[in-house]
Amino acid sequence: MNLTSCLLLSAALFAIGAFGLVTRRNLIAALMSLELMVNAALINFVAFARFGGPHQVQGHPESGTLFALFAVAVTAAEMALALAVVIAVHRQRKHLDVRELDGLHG
Amino acid sequence: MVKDLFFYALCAVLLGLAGTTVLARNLFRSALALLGVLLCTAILFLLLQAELVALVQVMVYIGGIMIFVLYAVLLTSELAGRMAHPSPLKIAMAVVVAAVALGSVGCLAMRAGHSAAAPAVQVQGVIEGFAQGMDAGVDVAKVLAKPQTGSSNIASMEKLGALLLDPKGFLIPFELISVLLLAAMVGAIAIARDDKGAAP
Repeated sequence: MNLTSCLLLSAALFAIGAFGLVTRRNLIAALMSLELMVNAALINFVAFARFGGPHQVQGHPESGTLFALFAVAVTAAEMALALAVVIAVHRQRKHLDVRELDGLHG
Repeated sequence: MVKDLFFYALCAVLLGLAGTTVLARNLFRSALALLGVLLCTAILFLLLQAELVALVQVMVYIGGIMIFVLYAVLLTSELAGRMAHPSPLKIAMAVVVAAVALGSVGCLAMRAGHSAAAPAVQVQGVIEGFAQGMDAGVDVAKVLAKPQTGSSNIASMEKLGALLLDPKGFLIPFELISVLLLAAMVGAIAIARDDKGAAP
């Protein structure tokens, strides 16, 4: 268990999330794939905080961990808004197919 | 080394669950797999000695966001009526899984409880102690009874809490995050509210 293996795991998780974001048609499923990608980023933050990168910040070795905490809070806000939009779209359109949701398409 | 083996097994489970999240046709099953991914990530954070992030992950992601997602799935996909009753084989498998979980956690708890010198066993200590105990073949309780050394932790909760409320540290981002969360909450209510009906 070292920095490289953690980064590889995070890269694999990110790739799986990106695959899902492109292939899933349901809006909620796309959001869940987005969660996977955010999770990969969190693993990166914590792994760098644990093992130290090439340019580790002097003075605050806890910064990486705190960044992960802030990222979690921002993701919580984002998901609350996104799921509110999902509910509103479903109420209006009665479906959640992302390929049909082209109302902003000029 | 047992810790490495545990890490690689965790990676395999995590990636498998992530694949299930992306590929499962049933949206509900996909959400449950995502829940497993988040739980595995929390265990990974414990292995990486970031216990506060692991706890926040469990509380915010699994306790908050996943509940949102499950609500949204059930509200929008009319899945609740089509959920088949589990077959007896599945029930038996679920019972086995639950029994194994209870047995392993209970075993650890019993062995930790026998050593009176460990009044407050930290979760981190349990995982580390389990790995070390299996490594050296020594009694887990002895490893657990060893006082937790704060210096080995990259981010002990006390240090993180002090840094978060330190004006020279991260106080301003911390307060800004609370404003952001308030704005997001108000916005979510405003967006999801049914405009026609009388809002309760």
